[in-house]
Amino acid sequence: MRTPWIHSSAALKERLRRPIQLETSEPESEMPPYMELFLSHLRLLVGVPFDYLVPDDRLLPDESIRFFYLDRSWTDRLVDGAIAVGKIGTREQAHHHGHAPAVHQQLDLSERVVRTLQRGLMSFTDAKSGNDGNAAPADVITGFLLRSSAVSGWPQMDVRGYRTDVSEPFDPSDAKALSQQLTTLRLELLSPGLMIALFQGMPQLVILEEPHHGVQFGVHLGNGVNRVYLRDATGHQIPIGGHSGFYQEMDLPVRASNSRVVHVAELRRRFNAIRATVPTAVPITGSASFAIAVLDPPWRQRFEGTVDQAGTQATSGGFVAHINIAERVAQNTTLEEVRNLVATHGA
Amino acid sequence: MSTTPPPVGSMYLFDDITPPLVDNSYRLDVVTNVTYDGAPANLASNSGYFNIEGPRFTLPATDVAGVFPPRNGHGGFDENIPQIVISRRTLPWERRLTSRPDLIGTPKRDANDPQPNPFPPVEGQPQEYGPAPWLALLLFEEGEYKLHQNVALKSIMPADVYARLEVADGITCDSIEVEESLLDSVLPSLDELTLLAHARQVNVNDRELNAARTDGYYAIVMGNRLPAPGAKYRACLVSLEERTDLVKADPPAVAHPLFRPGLENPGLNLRAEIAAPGSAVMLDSGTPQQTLINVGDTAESRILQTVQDRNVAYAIGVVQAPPYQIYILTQQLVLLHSWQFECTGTGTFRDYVQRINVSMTGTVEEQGHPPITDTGHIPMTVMDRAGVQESVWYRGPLVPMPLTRDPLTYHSADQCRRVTPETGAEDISYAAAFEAGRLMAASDPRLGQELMRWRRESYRQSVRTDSLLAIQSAIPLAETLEIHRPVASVVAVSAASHMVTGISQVGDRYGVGAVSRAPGLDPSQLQAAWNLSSVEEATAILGGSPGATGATVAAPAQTARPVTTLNEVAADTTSLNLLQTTRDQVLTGVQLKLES
Repeated sequence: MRTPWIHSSAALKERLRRPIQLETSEPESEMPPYMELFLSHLRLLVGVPFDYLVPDDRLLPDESIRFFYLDRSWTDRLVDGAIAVGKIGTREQAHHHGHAPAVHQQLDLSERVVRTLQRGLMSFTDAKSGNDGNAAPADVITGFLLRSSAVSGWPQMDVRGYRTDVSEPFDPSDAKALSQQLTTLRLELLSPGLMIALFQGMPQLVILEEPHHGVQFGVHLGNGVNRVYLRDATGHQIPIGGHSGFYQEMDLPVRASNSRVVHVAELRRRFNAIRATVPTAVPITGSASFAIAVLDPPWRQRFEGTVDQAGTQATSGGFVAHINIAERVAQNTTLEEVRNLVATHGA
Repeated sequence: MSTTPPPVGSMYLFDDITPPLVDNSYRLDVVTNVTYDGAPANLASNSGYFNIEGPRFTLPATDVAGVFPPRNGHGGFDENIPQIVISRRTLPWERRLTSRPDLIGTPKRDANDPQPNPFPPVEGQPQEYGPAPWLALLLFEEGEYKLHQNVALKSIMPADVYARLEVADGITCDSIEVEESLLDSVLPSLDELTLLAHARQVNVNDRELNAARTDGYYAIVMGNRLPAPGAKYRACLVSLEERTDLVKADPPAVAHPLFRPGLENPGLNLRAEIAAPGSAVMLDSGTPQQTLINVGDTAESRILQTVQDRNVAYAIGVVQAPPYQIYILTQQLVLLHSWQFECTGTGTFRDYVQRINVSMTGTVEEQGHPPITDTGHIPMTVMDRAGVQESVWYRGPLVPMPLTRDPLTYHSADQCRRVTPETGAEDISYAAAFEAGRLMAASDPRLGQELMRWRRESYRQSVRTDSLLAIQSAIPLAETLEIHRPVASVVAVSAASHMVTGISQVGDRYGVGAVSRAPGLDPSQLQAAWNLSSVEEATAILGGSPGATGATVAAPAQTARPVTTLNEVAADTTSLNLLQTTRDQVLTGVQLKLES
């Protein structure tokens, strides 16, 4: 017979001698950081093959945007599947079963730091300790897929979701606008022409804005010649005499040797000269103020009033209709029918 | 310079962001001055050399954060000035434009006009190299340029320019070759170069990841040429380092106000001048250029055709007969980055995003293709475990309506398979999700280890809890054991409290307590045995004093004595004499005893 490597008395002694069984700071279902990181990324579909997301190309044609709700059951199954790795017996299964609620609860929190980590702003432990304090329950996750030349041409556009319809014009840094802005959980290019965005909550308004560092310089055609608008120090056009819709402008000087080449030095001189009549125009002291004077403001595209079917659908949305069946059974008419059937045929 | 990023939706602009040291070779001298005994005794000095090197003849593609118009884009860009965004914010100012600013000269300036100063003077030095960028963005139409790859740096520039670059021989680079006349008409002057480059700081919170990882600083170089509609263009970021032969202090003249822009090539009225053989070709600016040699009537049309085909504003060269040849001066520039775009149709950001087809997931372009249910499921064909083809439903995680969350825990993919009551076909959506998660996790070896670690830690905890329960049931403890508290102390406290129960007095150093419990010393037993009248009587017989049995006894009161001093004692001769007498008597007594 094999002798046991430790006797029960020794084990008991060891147990008694141990100063503490478990640190109080260590919650019982604490996951190793790497595992928590991996699973919270899974929650936001990071790395999930695109065919799983859009099973048929025709569901996302070229030049289209498709808004969606994220199916939480689907992502929960993804996590269940990941935990199933190395599950070889009843011991692992019982362990998973016991810990699953705590795991899902923790992931509901840590999925919110994924973008912070992806951006490399903080380490996981720092981000987690800051985030875990905010134990708000899991919210609905929404988002969109955008397949467009706008993505490949302007990959670094600004994307924002708002929970109410903020009316134009608004300043996104305004406290009111900021309070309405939804947390962006994920904003990534899946391929050069395809962008995925996930928001925490349900947006009433989504805006795409031209990237600011790529804000272009532009002129406009008026009376057959290229003209430039005058702008003040914050880049806003200067209305003529307080009327909106009519703005101060002037001709664009070009070089005599090539009519498509802007005569920059002359343009700068004219910008400064015109301040005699339009004193609010930005004075050109260097390249930064010159850039303000000739830039086009970024275009902001609004998507609002997207079809929201929340609450209008009678089904739970899935073929798994167990909730509906229970509801139907509980309805008075159903019960009445059953009673009638039993009364007529049961006897 | 501001270090906090601008508010959401805003940006900060900077004239330039200069590095503390421009790219060059440097020598660092270390000298220690020591004064010893009033005389200087300097230690040996030391020198070290270092180079600061940045992109110079090539630019890594990763340094380019964005270009406009978009690379290979088609659209109505005729109202937009091209630009390039460089993620290395100091790049345009990292190198000096030239070490010989005198070769460029000073731009003519109006005294009342605030002017940018590309070479701000530094005290002690005649001229220092300020924020004139060494980069320029030039725009050329298709056919106006030739691209060369891997040409020797030495071969593309004048010898004096090459000498001032101070580089080793054998460096190759990419270059762009354009006609000199065209380059003259396009190239920005010194002041213009300064105006066409600036830096920005933007807020990157709401960007996709590649941008959101950066600090939000960018350098931007603008072009100065507007694309014409219907043409194909290449925008080229070129290096103008030491190109004093090309960069001018002042730009060419402004177009005459009466000459309306719109005509791309004012040189096309060349015919008028060329028709008079031997005469000078006139520019719009009125500057006479090189004479075209008489070519005769027959060749004139061909030459004109060639000139037009090449889109030369003014041909410079000599026609030699026969065969007739036109020599056109060209210049080559170091090409750092270039991209093409076409100026046709509409294709601005605004056009694209306004054209986008907007709807919820599950909307298909063409009715019924692919067949999709209102719940977002689409039919698929899979091979079931028996090898038979089967039609099933599938729906991805992106759904058109909010769904309830299934709170169950699943342990296998089979467990997630469902049969839809409406169609009788299987729904494999969640089973597919389970398998996708399992495969992704299995492909990550580290995750497997971490999962094992997670379980092992839990099993350990479970074993500890079990043994605590065993201890709890085996030893009657006053408290419940907890996994977060030490076991030994609970057990020890419990055991000790059991042992000390019932012991009245622990400390009895002289055994008084034990002795006092002897039958003969107990007053009540003594009273019974000797038939005494009361316990008090027995106590009195036993000595009566409670101090004998260890009880507390009050000390008798001390006699009060007057306060005295040594002087008073010394002055009390009567007492001292008495003491002396007594001492003598004692000594006498001892002597008598010893003698006897």
